[in-house]
Amino acid sequence: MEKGENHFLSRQLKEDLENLERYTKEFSVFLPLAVCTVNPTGIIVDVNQAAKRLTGHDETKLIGLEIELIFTEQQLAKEFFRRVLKSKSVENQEMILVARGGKKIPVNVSASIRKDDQDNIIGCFWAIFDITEIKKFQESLEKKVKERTKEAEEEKNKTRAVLISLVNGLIVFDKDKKITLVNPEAEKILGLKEKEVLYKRIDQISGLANLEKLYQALGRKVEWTGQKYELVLDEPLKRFFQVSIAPVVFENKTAGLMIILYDITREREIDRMKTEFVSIAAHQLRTPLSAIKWILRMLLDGDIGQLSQEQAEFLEKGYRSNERMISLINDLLNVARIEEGRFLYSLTYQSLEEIIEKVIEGLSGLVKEKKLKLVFNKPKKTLPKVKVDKEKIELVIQNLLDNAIGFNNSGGQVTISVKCDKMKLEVMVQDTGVGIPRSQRKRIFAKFFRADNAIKLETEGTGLGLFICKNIIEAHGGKIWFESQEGQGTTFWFTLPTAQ
Amino acid sequence: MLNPKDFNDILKIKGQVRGVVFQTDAKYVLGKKGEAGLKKLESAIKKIDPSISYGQEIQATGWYPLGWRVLSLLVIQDVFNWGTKEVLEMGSAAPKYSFIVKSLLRYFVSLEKTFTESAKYWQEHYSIGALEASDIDVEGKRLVLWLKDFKVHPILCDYFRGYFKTIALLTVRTKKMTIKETKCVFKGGPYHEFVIEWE
Repeated sequence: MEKGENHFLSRQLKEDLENLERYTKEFSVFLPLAVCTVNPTGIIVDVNQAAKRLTGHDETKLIGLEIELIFTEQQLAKEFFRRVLKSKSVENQEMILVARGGKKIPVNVSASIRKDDQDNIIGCFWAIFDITEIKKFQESLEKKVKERTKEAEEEKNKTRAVLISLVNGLIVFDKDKKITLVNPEAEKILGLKEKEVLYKRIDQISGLANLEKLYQALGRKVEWTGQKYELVLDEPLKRFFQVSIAPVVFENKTAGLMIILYDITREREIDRMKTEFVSIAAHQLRTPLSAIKWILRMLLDGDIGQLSQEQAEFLEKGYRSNERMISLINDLLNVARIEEGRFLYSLTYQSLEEIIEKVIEGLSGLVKEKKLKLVFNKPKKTLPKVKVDKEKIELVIQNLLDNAIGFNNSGGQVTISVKCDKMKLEVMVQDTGVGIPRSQRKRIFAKFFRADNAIKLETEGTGLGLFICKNIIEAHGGKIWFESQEGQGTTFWFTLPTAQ
Repeated sequence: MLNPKDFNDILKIKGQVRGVVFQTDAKYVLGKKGEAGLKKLESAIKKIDPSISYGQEIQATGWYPLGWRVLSLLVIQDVFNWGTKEVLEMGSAAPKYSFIVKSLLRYFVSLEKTFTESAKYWQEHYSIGALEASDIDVEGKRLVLWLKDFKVHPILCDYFRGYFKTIALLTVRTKKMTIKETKCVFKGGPYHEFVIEWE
């Protein structure tokens, strides 16, 4: 090699080395990650700017130091170093770095071995990442989770306290229909202890009579139907409960169900006493009213002597008022019997056609007086006889026709028709009257209910007729319903089963 | 106190040194005395020879008069009133600042390799003298270094004691290491002999 060539190479080498130094220096300053170059004996032989910043020490302190000495757990650091030397991939370890002034910094160390061109291990790089912020975040997250858990627990306890103190019996189920809570009132009602049934499905529990009765009352299923059920318990005292099932909703999702047992024994008792009172009062009133009726009848018939025109008119008014009173008393007695469960039926096979005709006959005077047209559309075929309580069905037809006439307009029409299929007879009573206001239709079968327009018409009525009709038809296994158009008329239908 | 009369003799010392030594001096002073200390040093040295500098114009791999190197150490010692101990510490810190040393140590991982290569390594830094590892006894935990043909200035004996010890410390794991200059050309020895021992 010529001297000039040698000189050139030396210059080139010098330039390369200077460039490399500059590059390394720039890279060291730029790199935000602390890096230590460690030789195979575990001694730090170089550090970058970030390592100096992180540790708070300069090269003089760090270079020449055994790497484990910059960590709190030196044994762990030594083991990690050994692991790195054996590993072919990058190894990671969380450690605590001891910086200047004893400041402890949580770090994550990633290290990998370095080899020369002959595959000899010449040390390793330790990249040290400050995870203080991550740890702080992790700690704050853990703290938040703890706080939230505590809050949720407190909320749960509060909710439980509220549920426990409820005066109604309450059983809460999770989404798998396992019991998660039985409040003390429900324990008392059902004669059980929460711990006996907790985390069990109701169908998995046996030997608890009242719970079995509840399950029976619900139709042997725990489902939210929006329906209300009735539970009657005999032990230790006869008690009545209204049972409802409601969903437990959490963040717009159904998390379970709850059964609410509302004690209606007191209401039932009041109703019973009221019915008893009405029954006694009505009975006591009917006897003198009957006497008045017959006395007035005798007077009007001239059995006591001839009456003047004026006297007869006064007595006629008195007679009609007495009749209305008797009708009201009869209605009240019927209602009392229905509520007492004493509305007994003497069922016999009857021709519905004959019953209707008889009722129509009795109403002919009233129809004429109101200038109405009453049409009975008889079926072409002979109707089969139905097993009914004749007196009660008469009462139903009477009530429906009374309404159709009473709420009709003068010159209007009342139509009654009957049709039949294999299962049932269907009776329709249609009028061209005032109709039922839309807002009041839901209450039409309620006791003592009279629609606003009916009151305005000053028609007679107790508001008990349709309540009685509904009870009679349903007691026969039939159905009753209606359609109405305000100002145009109303149509009532009822059915009676034929196959009995 | 430095005697200005000696300056000319020092500046006449034959041989050259890599610019990296001035950079390591500057870094050390900066670390110990801060910016003000470094400015004080620069001002003091410029008074002796305006061409001596610690700034950007000095290149790490460039060759500069060996006399400058001696002068730099003497001026530092004088300006900061440092003694032998501080010069030894400067020597100890120098390999840690030196890019060339760190580059070599990344590859010369063992004591044997490092000091076997010491002759080449010496030549990378100084144009005169020769460094030789006359005895490398890893099991006996002893290392003997000879620095031949290098009669420059006694201050460098202290400086090299720190310097060689650090190089050894970067390759050997030990709690205790000592270095002694057992022969010195300024004390009638044929060369400088440094004996390093560790536990």
